[in-house]
Amino acid sequence: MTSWLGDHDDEATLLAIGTGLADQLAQLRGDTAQECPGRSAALIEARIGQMITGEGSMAAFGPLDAAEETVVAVAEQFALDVHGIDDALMARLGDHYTPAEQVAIMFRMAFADGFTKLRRVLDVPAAPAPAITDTSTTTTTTTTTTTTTTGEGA
Amino acid sequence: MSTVPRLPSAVPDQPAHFGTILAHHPELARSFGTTYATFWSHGVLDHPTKEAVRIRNARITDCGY
Repeated sequence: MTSWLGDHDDEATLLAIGTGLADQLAQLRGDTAQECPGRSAALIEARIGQMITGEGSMAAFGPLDAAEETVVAVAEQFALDVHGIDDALMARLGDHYTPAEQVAIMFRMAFADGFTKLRRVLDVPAAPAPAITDTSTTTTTTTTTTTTTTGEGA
Repeated sequence: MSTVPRLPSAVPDQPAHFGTILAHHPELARSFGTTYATFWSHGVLDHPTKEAVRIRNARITDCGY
């Protein structure tokens, strides 16, 4: 595939060009995904990817519980205009998640938002998506179950 | 945008700020610090260009940090 910056198979090969950051970013993104509780990492990735690219679906997740609905609400506002995330919305998040979990969730949103936009602008596909473990049920979800084009691979 | 941290500090007797909030996740904080340091100390862009981008981004996002 040819991106604006030349011939690259995916974002991983693009990031490997001269930045020195590829391995560290991969580690950080992977750690962030694993630290997110339950299905939150996959939900964030799918919803932000869907909003930025207009592709993908949330249907595979089925019904969301109140905590998951709050994560999606914050993710939507994060992608639309981060200034709209107010005290009330963060208080809702705090009703369901510990501060440590909120840190991981917000990191995940930052990565999903930033890297989805980066891929969009540079016209490169995501790197092959690793499995994201659902820490609440020990089931495993991959990004390809929710979106085939915007998976925010760690 | 709020410039008052919405999460508590993870470090006793220290006020909440970016570092003490990240401390809720020491591993993430370490990984982030390493990555951020590499970003500023390596790469093909010169430092003034990186700083210009940082300042512009902070202004647009109303970063209070």
